[in-house]
Amino acid sequence: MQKNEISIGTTVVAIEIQDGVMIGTDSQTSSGPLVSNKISDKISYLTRSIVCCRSGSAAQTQNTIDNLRSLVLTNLFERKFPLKVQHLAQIFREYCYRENAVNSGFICSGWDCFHGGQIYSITQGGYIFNQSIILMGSGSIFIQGFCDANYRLKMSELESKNFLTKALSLAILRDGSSGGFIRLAKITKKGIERLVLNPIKPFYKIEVQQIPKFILV
Amino acid sequence: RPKGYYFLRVRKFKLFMGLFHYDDDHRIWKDFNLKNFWRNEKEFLINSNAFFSVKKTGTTICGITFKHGILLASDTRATNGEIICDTNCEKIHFIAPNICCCGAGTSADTENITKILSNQLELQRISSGKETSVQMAVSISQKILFIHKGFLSAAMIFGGFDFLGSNLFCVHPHGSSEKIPFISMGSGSLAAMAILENNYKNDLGLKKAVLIIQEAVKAGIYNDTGSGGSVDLCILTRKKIRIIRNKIFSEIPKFKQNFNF
Repeated sequence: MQKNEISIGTTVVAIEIQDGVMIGTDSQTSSGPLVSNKISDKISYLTRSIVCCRSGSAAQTQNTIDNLRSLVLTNLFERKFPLKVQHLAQIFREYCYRENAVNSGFICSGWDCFHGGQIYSITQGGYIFNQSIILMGSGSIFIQGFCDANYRLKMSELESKNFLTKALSLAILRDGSSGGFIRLAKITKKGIERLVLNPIKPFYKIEVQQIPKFILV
Repeated sequence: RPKGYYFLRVRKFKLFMGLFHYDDDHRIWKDFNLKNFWRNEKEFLINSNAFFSVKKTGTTICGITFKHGILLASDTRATNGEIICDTNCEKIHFIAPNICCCGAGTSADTENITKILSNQLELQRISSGKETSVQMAVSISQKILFIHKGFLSAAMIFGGFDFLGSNLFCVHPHGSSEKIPFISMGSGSLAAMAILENNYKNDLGLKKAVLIIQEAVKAGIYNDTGSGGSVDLCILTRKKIRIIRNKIFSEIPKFKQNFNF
């Protein structure tokens, strides 16, 4: 990346829940040591029930998403039926590989009527893989252990919300390039619902030592 | 066929493409003249810093949303390395009857991008008959900047009032854009951002918003060597736009000063 380019050093966690998919991100973009935007939205919509999370260089990811939206529209006009998440992820991957999108990572997730909620991660260079929990970004390394220990398959909505807020608060606590507040998105059969939350503050107990009354010199 | 036939055909084609020039000294038509190539290479190797001296504007530009619309403000100094070449230059550009833009970075880049933008948008307005949205201006400039991979150093703030309401966008030199309630860019952005963060609230009135943004640009002028001069202001509301040139006017030094030694 060039000097002082806007980067989305971030934390993104995407998990599959009972009815669909739930995604959580932080909200900070930085340019070198400075924060350029602390209320940014890293979740961008592709169709009515498919969503994409961006990380890496802001300019390149925004440009690829603009080009992809036009590809998605041509596809929809031809087939006149909602796109499968798998199909969209493959279009993503082909585009990233051909155009050599350096410094950009995506998570393409959504709900479709064939396989329910799915998450696909497209890494730098165009490698695609599918899992039920995906972590992405510079702050994700700090919460790998936490997610491995606490994630269970097919959690309910409330449990997954708690899990995501805890995980993102821990990452925001320890990572310099993630910050701001937490943005959640839930994608189900009904569509996309958005939420904004404050991160939970550190929860250590700080014990204050009492000053003794007598100080022996 | 005669020998000179192909040369004639090639020459006419190149004339058509504008690749030939007429050499007045020798009175003949000539092709590319590449003799300055070696001079450029030597100059670049000796002194790469002073090779291109562009007119750069180290600036402070700010944008803020208030109740009825958008305010944009900027300083007025243009620098060329360490020399100030213009103490009262215009950094607020007009793009459409409802959109204005502030530009920071290399002034040639910002001026040319805004010219291209305003011409393209005028043609679109004529053919479609509707007013332009700010998002459209932002997307076109984003595309231009992304294609040039960050070599056009132009950071811009777009503000305008359209059918969706009041919008404030910022565009960075590599081609990323963001929609935000208040922003400051340029070399004096840190000082101005401190003032904006301290004083900004939702739904400000016009007078308070003008005070806040003036203080922000003044902070940029005082604390940054690349910004200086007067403060320009631009008020954008639904009914009209109003560009106030030199809202706070700082004295230009006089040419003749009578010294008594």
